[in-house]
Amino acid sequence: MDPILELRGVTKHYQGFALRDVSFSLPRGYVCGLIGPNGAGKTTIVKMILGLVRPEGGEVRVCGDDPVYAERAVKDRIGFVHEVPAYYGHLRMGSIASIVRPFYRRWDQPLFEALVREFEIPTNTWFDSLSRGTRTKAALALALAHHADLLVLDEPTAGLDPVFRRSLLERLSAYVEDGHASVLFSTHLTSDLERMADYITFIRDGRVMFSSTREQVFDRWFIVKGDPRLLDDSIRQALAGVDVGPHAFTGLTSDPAAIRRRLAGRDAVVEAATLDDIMYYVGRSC
Amino acid sequence: MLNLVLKDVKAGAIFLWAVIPLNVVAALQVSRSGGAFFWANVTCAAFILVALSMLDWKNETGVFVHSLPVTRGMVVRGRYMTAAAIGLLSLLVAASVGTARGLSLSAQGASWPRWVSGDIALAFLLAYAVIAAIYLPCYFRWGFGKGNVVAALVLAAAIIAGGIIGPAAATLADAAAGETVRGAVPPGLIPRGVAAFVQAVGLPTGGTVVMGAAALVLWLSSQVAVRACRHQEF
Repeated sequence: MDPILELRGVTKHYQGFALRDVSFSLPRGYVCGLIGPNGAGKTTIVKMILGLVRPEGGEVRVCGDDPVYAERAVKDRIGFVHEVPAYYGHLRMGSIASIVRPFYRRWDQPLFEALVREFEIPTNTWFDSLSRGTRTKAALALALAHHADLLVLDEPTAGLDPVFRRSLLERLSAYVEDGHASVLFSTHLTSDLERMADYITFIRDGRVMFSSTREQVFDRWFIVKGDPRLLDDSIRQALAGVDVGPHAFTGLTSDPAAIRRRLAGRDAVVEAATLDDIMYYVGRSC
Repeated sequence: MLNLVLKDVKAGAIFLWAVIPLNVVAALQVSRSGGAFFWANVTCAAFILVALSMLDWKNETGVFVHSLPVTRGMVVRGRYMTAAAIGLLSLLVAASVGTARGLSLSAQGASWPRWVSGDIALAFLLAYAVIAAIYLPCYFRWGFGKGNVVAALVLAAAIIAGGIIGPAAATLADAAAGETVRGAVPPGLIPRGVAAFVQAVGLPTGGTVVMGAAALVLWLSSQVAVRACRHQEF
């Protein structure tokens, strides 16, 4: 498959934080969820894709181009929504769009106007006076209006009401349907991704913990719950992380068959894990 | 790049239009003194340039601007083009105000003011270009806060140096050009130096050289600013 986005062995050091050997790719026509706790390095990766932050080692490629050397061409293909959309606060939506429009070769004004109407973005209000959710909607309208090959969304659903959130997720799924465009969706609200992500990349402390298809993730990880007296060394070794309470333990395993064999007929259940479970336990096990 | 200038014009319209009332107020306040009028105009133009940077800083638009399909070099050069446009706009307004003042004085039978002339217009462009050439690399290297402090210190040093070198240069200029340069020309190394130079070589040659010098100063400064911006991360 033709990757629209590829990171290979990317490194970057800051005081107290480093991205180490970050590698993952996203084929055309798919949605990738970039998940991880706050401060894991998601926003740094997003900024590297846009060339706003430069890697010290490794390679970033967007449609085969390096964002550092093909800055303009790469950014023309990206629709970007920042976690805190910041435009000129004393301007109205129309003025902001008139600033953005001439920069993009494929700007679609009728589409933009339709998005503004659909998202119910007030056009006569200063950007500073808009709510957080409406600012995000405005940023989404600007990002969607130029037929980007790659949508890079950094925490786009924060501040959005559940109704709009759901319709946004449907719109993003439809956006990639023709197989031409892709979406990289950075978030720590993992429930959004369970509905629509094709790939999941989990970052923690600047490292990629795993990067695979959603099916592989959910086929691999399972939650085990049971009586804490069942927790012997062999069970503990098969768990990637475990919480032990007075009446029950809960753990994550990537070897459900072995756990099922050992706990057969005993007071325990093995069930599907959520992304939240996986983030929580895999993160703790490191 | 023109799109970046248009962005600055749209975003900074409130400050760009301020050039007119600022100049009119300055003209009313200092119309008796050509020197004060000259430096008030330079200050107004520099204020508008700094105000544009303040808008970017206040709205935290660094990520927005640099996520548009532009290179860092284009962002820097776009701001230099805006700076040049501000300088020319300010000059146009100042020349209009100055001409109105000159016509009013002429109608009263007084002589045409010395400070409303081609050589002083050239001096305005050069003085403003020097300020922009110092300010913009500092802004692109250190941002609005620290960049302003560094630029202010460098400008203060330049003014002090001008104060030391200026009188000696003015003496030489006066000796070369005669008593007409002193007194009627706005104070300062740049206006006096430009006036003396233009008097010595004529307005066409002097104008070409001074405008070339202003363009060269801005071009060299833009090279420094592009390098400075290359290392910035957002």
